[in-house]
Amino acid sequence: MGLRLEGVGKRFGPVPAVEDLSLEVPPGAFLTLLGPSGCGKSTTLRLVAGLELVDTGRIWLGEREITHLPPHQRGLGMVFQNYALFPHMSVLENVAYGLRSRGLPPAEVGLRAREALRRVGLEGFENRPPHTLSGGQQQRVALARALVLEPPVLLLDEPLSNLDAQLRRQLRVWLKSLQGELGITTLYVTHDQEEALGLSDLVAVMRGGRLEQVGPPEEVYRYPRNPFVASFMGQGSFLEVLVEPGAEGLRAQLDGLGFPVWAPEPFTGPGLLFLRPEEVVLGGGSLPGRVRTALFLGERVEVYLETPWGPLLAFGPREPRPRPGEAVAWGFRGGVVYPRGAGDVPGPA
Amino acid sequence: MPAPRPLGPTGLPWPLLLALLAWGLLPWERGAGASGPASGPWALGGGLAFGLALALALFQGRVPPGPRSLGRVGVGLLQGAGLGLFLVDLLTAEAVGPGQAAVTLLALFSLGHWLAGSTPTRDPLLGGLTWVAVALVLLFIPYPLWVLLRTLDLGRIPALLADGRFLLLENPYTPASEAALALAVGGVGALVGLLAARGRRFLGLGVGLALGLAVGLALFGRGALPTSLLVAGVVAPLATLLGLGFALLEYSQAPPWTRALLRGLALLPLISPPFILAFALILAFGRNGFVTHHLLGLDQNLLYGPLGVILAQVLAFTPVAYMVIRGTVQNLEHSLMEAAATLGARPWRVFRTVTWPLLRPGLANAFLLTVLESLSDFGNPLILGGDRQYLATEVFVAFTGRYDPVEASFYGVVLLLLVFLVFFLQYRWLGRAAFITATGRPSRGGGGPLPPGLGAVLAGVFLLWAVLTLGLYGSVAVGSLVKLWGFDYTFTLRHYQDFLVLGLPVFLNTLKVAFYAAVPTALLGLFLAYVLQRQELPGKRVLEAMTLLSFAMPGTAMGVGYVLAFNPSPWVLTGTTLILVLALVFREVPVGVRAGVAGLAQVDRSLEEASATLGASPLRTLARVVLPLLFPAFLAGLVFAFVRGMTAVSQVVFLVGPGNLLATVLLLGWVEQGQMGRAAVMSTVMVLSLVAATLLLWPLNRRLDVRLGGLP
Ligand SMILES: Nc1ncnc2c1ncn2[C@@H]1O[C@H](COP(=O)(O)OP(=O)(O)OP(=O)(O)O)[C@@H](O)[C@H]1O
Ligand SMILES: [Mg+2]
Repeated sequence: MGLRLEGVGKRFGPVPAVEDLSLEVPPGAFLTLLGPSGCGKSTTLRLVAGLELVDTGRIWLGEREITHLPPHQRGLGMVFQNYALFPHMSVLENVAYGLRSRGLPPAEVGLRAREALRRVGLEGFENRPPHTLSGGQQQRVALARALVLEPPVLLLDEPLSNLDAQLRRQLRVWLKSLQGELGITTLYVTHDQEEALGLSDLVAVMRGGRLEQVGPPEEVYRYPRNPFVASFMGQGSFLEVLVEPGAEGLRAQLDGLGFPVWAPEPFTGPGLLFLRPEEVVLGGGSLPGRVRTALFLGERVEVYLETPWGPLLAFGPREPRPRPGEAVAWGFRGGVVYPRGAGDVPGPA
Repeated sequence: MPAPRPLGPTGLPWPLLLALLAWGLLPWERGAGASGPASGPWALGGGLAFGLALALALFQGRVPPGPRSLGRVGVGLLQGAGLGLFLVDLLTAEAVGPGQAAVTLLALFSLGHWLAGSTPTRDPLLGGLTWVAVALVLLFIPYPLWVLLRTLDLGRIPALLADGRFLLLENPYTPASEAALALAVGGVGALVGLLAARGRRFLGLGVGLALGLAVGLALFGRGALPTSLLVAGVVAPLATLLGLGFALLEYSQAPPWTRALLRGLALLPLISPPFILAFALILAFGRNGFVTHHLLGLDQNLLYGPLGVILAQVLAFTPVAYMVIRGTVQNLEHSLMEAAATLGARPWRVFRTVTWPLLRPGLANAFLLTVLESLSDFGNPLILGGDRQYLATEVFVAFTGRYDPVEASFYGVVLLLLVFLVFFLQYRWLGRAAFITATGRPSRGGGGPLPPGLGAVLAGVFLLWAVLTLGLYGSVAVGSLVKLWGFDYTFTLRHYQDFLVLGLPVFLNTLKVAFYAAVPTALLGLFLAYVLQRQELPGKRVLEAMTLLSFAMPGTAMGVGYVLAFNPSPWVLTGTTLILVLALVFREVPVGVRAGVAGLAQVDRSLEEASATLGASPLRTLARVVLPLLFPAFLAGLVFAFVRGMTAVSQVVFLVGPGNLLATVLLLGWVEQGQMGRAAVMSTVMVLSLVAATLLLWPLNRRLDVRLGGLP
């Protein structure tokens, strides 16, 4: 079942936490809300769950409006950042809790709860108190507890943020395949952009309670609609350039040369050229630059350059390692330009 | 996706069924021969309207929500009409019966049910319960106080102020006139003021005169106001200082046995009626006192008067101060002081800049509590007061001795004003911090080692205090086993035999009343804590202030308020078990609230939210998640409510009836009549049973004793 938010707004006192937010999650899709801390991701999720009430706007679950339903009548599954396992109940009782609340017969409750535990690979843990489980196991109990009710929509608020990096990676893969298997509509909150890119069918980037851009991860990554989205998703640098109309689309002027670029809204005049490091080719062009530092990071080397248009990040060869002070010529394959002064200009990524 | 379930556990309209059951089966009015369903036209009409309204309200619950639908408004009007009919009926009734009470509560419930049901997130059932709780709080806390205020006849105030019992009482048997003495002290004050204030003479003169007169009145006036202020003014600083000393001692290098002794001995006065100490002081230091008469051969009665009251109160209320302050001392991070020391601060500077600001809220709290306790203490002044008046006892004497409700309400209002003044001053000095009591985390805090000299002095003072307290309680126990204290110290069990006939029924009745009161206190306290902490409710702060109000109000003032409010028809409650239970419940409900709030602080909100997203209704969440996790807090609230119910005296003394005595009241009477043997037996039995009740809590004690200290 799909989920739709229409012009949703929520204030806490004078501060708007979410403003005029419209969003649609198609049935079976995995949508991630992404944004810096305090931008209103959790609030959005809690509005959908009914844990907070909207001030304005409406929320639809499929064809049904749920804007004013209390949380226990919405039937959505939710996994909390701290798991929120009931400490006075065993693992099995935790998972059975929702089934019991629905008044199912005890035999069926037991059967379905055990089945859900098996699905998340926790057979044999039925009678353990939750606090004796590891973080990853607790996470899976929380997931089983939510999934056992077969909710039409699953809500997850930074479910992996309390785990160490290794486990996070494993659970990420597992979560993605489970979601695909069940085909359950999922709304996921994170501020880890790598997680967002890897897991989602759709990414929604938020800032200050507003939606900045929604789309498939590749699209948002390649064609960020504004400098904020560009800098928040992945790495990149902003160069100050002049934008001119060209034969096919726009061109950015660097060193007397015109490079074809893309702009969300065409314009001419002073602009910001956003370049992803993987688009920059070191030694593959004629633009001047000088190496400031180079960082060896295992699979790649990050090279920080000084250029006449501003600092620039590129990926360099491992051998020969670029040396500080060394002059390099560079070029690039494609970039995005934004009018200067439009929105905040973030510092170099 | 299942359809939203209808309201109620089985979908049955159970509030309606309950209402009809109450209406049909319970007697409508109280009194001899009253039984059966309502007969009067009002009652009949009310019952029918109410039933209809409830039925519609329940139907309401199933209508999909939509703002301002016509049906909702209609149901609200009907419910209002039903409730209105009941109120009319209530006012015209002779005496409210259980039927009326039950149906009225259910009407309130359904009103809350409807109102909450019309807002999306608020659960109708929870909303209904909230309304009932709020209505009960309003009825049993501010309402009696309001009645007390209303009783005060403004025209009589000048006469009451001028009355000797209020300010200055001439004693014809003393050589000099009391007024002259007070004036003389005032004159001396004026002179000192004149000399001390070099520049501004008039100011110096005025301040000196005022202070001098105040001191003169306090020393010689004998009236209720100066005496009560004198006693509180001596007791509060002394008890606070002692409490601080003991707290520092406990957290310094003190050997473990000191700690155990400190805890045990501090608990004793906290869980026994405070005036047992007055009684024990008479046994030890009275005219026929063991120490004064037998050991020292003195023949005096110095004990009767402010001195004795002060002694008894210091002994009784030092543990209160100690419990509060030890919470603060416990939370003193030793590392803070070390940090200050490494920054180059000398010991006194560390104390002034780090320790003192950290201790200040705790000290102020302790001071506030001991002032309140001293002002509202009823038993000790009644027993040891001598020829002086005290505000708290004067309320009682005016009401029951001189049959003058106006005068009683006058003294009650003076007490209330003093309490407000103390709260106000405290607030000015500390701001909000004053009202946050320490939670008593068992952490390894404490102020670190004491300077050697101070440590020894504190240890000595504590030892003296310990011996005195133990000796006093011990002498009560011994007193219950000797023939006639002061004259014949031979062993006997006669008093115990008397007790079986005269005291035991009252004692059992007290157990019963205290237990009846404890359960609703703990439940209501938890529920209110839940509402205050976790629910959106307009006017929440006011509700919180009201529950605090009942805790700060002097018991005698509250007691007079209860009699004035609930004796007239339609309540006619004085002397019933019900009013005793109600008085105790609403006096102790802050204990339950405090326990509940502390417990809820340990329960992460997301647990409740998880439960809601798993499809549990708010009431189910309350029952399955919140309550089980709050069980220790509930148990603590239960035991403390029980202990306080057993030891309450100042409020219930107005409410007991001939067939419905309470142990404390009987004990007070026996002490006043000089029935020392019986009184000793009653005291011993009470203290032992209260210690036993508290020991039930031993596993929880560690976490909770600080909380107890926060609520004497
Ligand atoms: N209950 C509340 N009362 C007051 N303000 C709140 C409340 N909940 C959230 N806010 C505010 O609303 C804004 C959005 O908060 P929210 O929790 O949605 O952020 P977030 O995007 O989830 O951040 P994070 O990544 O740190 O979890 C913040 O400024 C926050 O301070
Ligand atoms: Mg968040």
